Amino acid sequence: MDAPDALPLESDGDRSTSWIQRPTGACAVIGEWLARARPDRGIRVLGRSGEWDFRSWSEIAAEAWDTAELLRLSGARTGGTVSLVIDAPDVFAAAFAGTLAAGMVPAPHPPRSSFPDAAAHRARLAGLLRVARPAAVLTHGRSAGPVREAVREAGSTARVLSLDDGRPTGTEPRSPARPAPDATALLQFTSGSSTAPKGVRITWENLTANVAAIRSWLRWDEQDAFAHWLPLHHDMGLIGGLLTPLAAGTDLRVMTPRQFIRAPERWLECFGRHGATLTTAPPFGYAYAARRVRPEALDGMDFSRWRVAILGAERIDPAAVARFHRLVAPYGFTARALTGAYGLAESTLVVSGVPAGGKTRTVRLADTPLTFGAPVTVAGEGVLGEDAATGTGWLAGCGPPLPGTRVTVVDEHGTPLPPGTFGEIRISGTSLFAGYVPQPPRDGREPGGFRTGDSGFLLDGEVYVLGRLGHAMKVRGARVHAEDVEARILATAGGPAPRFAVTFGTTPESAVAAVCAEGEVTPEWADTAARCAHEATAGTARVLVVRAEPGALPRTTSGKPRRRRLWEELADGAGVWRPLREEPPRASSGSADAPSAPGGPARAEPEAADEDEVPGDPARPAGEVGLPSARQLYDRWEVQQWSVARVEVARDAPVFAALRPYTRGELLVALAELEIGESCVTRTLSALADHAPTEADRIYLCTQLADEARHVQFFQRYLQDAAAVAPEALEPDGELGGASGYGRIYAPVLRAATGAVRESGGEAAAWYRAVVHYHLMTEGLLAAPGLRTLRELAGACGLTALGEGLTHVARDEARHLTFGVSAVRAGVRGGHADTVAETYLHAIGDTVRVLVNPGRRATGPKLTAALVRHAAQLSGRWEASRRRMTRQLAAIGLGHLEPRAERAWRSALEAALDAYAENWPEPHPVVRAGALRGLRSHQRTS
Amino acid sequence: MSLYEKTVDRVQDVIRDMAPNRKETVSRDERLIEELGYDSISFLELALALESEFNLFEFDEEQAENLLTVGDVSDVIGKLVVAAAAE
Repeated sequence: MDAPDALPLESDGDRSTSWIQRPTGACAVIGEWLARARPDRGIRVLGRSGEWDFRSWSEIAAEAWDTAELLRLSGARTGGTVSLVIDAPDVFAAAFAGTLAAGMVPAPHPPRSSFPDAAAHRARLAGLLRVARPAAVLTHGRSAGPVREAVREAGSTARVLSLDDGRPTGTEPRSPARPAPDATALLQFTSGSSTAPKGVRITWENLTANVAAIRSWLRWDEQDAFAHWLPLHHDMGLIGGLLTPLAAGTDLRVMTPRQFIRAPERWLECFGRHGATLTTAPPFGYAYAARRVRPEALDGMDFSRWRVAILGAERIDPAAVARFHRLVAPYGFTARALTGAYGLAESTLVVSGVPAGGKTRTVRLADTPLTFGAPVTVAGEGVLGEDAATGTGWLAGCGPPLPGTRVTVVDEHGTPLPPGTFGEIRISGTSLFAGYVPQPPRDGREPGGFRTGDSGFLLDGEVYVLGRLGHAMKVRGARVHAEDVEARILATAGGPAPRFAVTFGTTPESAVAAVCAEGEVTPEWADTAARCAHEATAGTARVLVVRAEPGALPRTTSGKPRRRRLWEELADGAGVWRPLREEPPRASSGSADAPSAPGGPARAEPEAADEDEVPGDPARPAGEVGLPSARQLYDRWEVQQWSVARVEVARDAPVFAALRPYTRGELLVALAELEIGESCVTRTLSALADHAPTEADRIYLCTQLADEARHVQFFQRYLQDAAAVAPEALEPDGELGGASGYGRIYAPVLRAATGAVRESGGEAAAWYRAVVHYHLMTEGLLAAPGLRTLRELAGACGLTALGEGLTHVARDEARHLTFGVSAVRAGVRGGHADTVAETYLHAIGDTVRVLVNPGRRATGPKLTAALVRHAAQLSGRWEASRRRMTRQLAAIGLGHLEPRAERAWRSALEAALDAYAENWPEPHPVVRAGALRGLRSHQRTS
Repeated sequence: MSLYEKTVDRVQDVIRDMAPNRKETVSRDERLIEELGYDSISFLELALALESEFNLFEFDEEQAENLLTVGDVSDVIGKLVVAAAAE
C-alpha cells in the first residue's frame, strides 16, 4: 500500500475551517471527520425489538479505521473500488468511512433486506459487480451468502471480506491517502433499472461541494438532529441521510424502508418525541404516513422543533402533502418545514431547494398542452401543505439552485429559454458528476451542462419539475426506463409482437407512459402492453397504447426509437397515432387513495414477479419468473392494509342521490352482487383455511378471510350511508338480494364445495375443487371484471369514495386470485390435474349463468341505436371474462383445455340466454340486438 | 302545432336537459357525442327517459339507423309517436 502522506490528523490547527469549505483538501476530509467524531453523538438504529440502539460516532470511527486496516491487509490496491453490501446502517457507516479512509472508492449495493428473495438479490448483485469491477466486497450478516454466490456468478476476482469474521481491532488512525479533487470518491449506482446497471462517478470535489451546499441551504447547525428511513445505498439516503450528518457530527436516527412501511409512526416519533429536526423522504412517504397513521397515535407528540421536511426524488402531489399537514399540524408541525427540492445522482444529490424556513409555493398550470419552448400559464397559486390543492395540474416549487449549481431550461437544441418557458432542465456546477461506468459515447454532458432529461420551467428563480421526458420516469424514487417496460412487454406477451417503443411524458394532470406500436396489433397484445406499462410504473402513470401504420415510429439513423420526439407527436394530438387502450393512473404518486403505494403492483395478475428493486417499495415481491409464494403474498397483505372508516363513504351520498335511474339501478345491482358474494365467502372460507395443504397457505387464507370481512363492511356501509339502501333489501327475498345472480346460482355451489372439504376431513381433491370455485371462478371470472366495470362507472359518475374503496377491494382480490392460481397450479403439478380440469369445465356453466343472470330482467332500451350500444357493452363484459378464462387455464398449466372450455362457455351462454327468454316477455337485449343486426345485414344484401 | 312538431320540440328539450355538456339551447344539427358530450351511459339514460315519457312500447326495425344528431333522435321519436297515435 502506498505510504500515507496526507496531512497529519493532529495538525488541524484551524477547527473553524470545515473540511467542506476546502475542496482541494479533500484528502483530509475523511480523516478530519474521523478525528472529530464525538462520543456523545452518534447513530441510532431501530432494532428488531423496537428499541433505538445507539452507537457513538467515535465508536464508528474506530470501526472505520479497523475496516481500513482490513482492506489494507487484504492487499486491495489504493484507488480500487470496494463494493458494500451491508444491511445494518451503523455497520454500513463504518464500512463506508473505512473504505474512504483506506483511499479506496466505495460502491454501495442493495443489501439482502432490499430483496425478499435471495435468488433475485444474487442476480442483481452479479449484474452490479460486473459493472463495478471491485477489488473487494465488504459484507456482513445474511448478505454474505448471496454476495459470495454473486461474485462467482459474475466471474469476479474480488476478495469477499465478511465483517462478521472479525477484523483487526484497535487500529491506530492513519493519515488517509491523498486523492486529487477530481479523483472518484464514490461510485453511485442509479436505481431502478433492471436491465443495465450504471454507475455515476462522484468526485471528491462533487461530494464536498454538495455536502457543503446542503448544510448551508438547510442552515444546519449544532442543535440539529436528523432522522430518516431511506436505504443507504441510494443517493438520497447516502448523501443526505448519512454523509451530511456524518460530516456535521449530527445525531442521526435511521430505520429501514421496511420498518417505515410497517410502522410509519416510528418515523414521526423521531420528531415528536426524540427531538429530531431534519428529515428527507420522497413525497409518497408523507402521503403514506398521512394514510396509515391515526391521529390518536400522535397523542403526546410535539413537532414544534421539526424545522425541515424535504420532499424530493419524485413529483410532489400537493393534495397528498396537504393531507399530511392536516394530520401533523395539530401537534405543532408548521407548513414552513415542508421543503420542496430537486436533485439527481448525476448532481451528487441536491440541485435546488426551497430555503429552509420558507414556505414552498405551489402553482396550478392551466389545462393546456405543455410544449417545449412555449410559456406555461399559471392558473392558480398556493402554499404547500396549507392549501388543499383540489383539482389537477398542481405543482410544487423546488426552490432556487443551491450555491455552486446553475440551472438552465433549454429547448431540444440546447438553446436556453427565458423564465416561465417549458423545456428541459440543464444543470452545471461543482456538484456535477464526472461520468458513468460504463461510459457511454454520449452521457448528456455538453459544453453548457448536463441535460437531465427532466422537463420543467423556471419561475421567479425557482425550479419547477414535471418529470422525465422520453426515456425514463421516476416511480417512488426509483428510475424506470422505457427499455425496462419494453423488456417486460416482450417477456409477458405471447404470440407475434408488433414493432413498438415505449415513451414517457407528462401532462399537468399526470405522468404518462405510452406504448406505441406499428402495424397489426391484436387486442390481447394491447391488453398485455397496457398491463405491463401500468405495473412497471406502479399505477402512477396514465397508460396509453396507440398504433399507427408501419414506419410511423421515429427512429435515429442507428434505428433506436426517438422517444422524446415520439412523445411530442403524441402530445401534439394531430399525429398518426390512434388510441387502442387508455387507463388512468391508479393513483397519483402519493394521494391518500394511492392504492399501489407501497405494496407493489396493484393488479397482481398471474405473471412474472418484478425483479426491480425499488426504494420505498420494499415489499414488492422479487424472484424468479413465476407467481409469488403464499409467504410473499402474506407480506404484501401486511403492507396493503386499509381502513373502511377512512374511506368516508358518506361523501358520495349527494352524488348518488342525484344519479339518473338506470345508472343508479346498475350501481345498486353491482354493489349488491359484490356484497352478497363477499358475505357468502366469509361464511364458508374458513374450511379452506382449516385444511390448507401448507402452513403458509393456511396463514395466507386467514388474511383473505380478514379481507373479505373488510369488504363486507365496505359494501354494507356504502349501500347504507352513500346509496341509502336499507339492509333488508339485501336479504334473499329483498329487492336487491332477490335479483342477485350470485346469491341464487353460485352461493349454493360454493357452500357445497366448502361443505365437501369439511366432510371429507380435508381431502386434497375436495380442497382443490373448492379453490377452483372460490378463487378462479368467483374471484377471477366474476368479481374481478365486475369490480373493473363498477370502478369505471364510479369514475364516470364522480363517486370518489366508491372509486377509492373499490380500488382497495380490487387490489385485495388480485392478491387472492394470485394465491388461487398459484395454489391450483401446484395442485395440477401435484397430481390433481384431472380433478381441477373436471371442476373447472363444470363450473363454467354456473359462472356464465351468473354473468347473464336470467333471473333479473335486463334493462333493454327500445330505441334501436341505444339497444345496440347497450348490448355491445354487455357482451363486451362477458367477452372480458371469457378471455380471463383462457389466461387462467394457461397460468394453471391446463392450456390444452382451452378448446373444450370455449365450447362449454358458448353452450352455457346459449342455455342462459334461452333461460332468460323463458323468464321474461322479450329476449335478452344482447339477443335482440343480435337479431336486429342480422336482420339489417340481411336487408342490405337483398 | 302538430303532434309531430310538439314531440320534436319536447325531445329537443329532454336532450338538452340530459346532456352532459350544459347548454341553453340545442339545435337540430348538433351532434350528440361530439358536441353535447353524450357517452354510452348517458345515451342509454336518454333513450330510457324518452321511451318512458312518450310511452313507447314498440321499436321499429326501420328506424335502426345511427342516431348522430339531435335532429336524428327527435325525428325518430316524432315518427314513432305519430304512428302510435294513429293506431
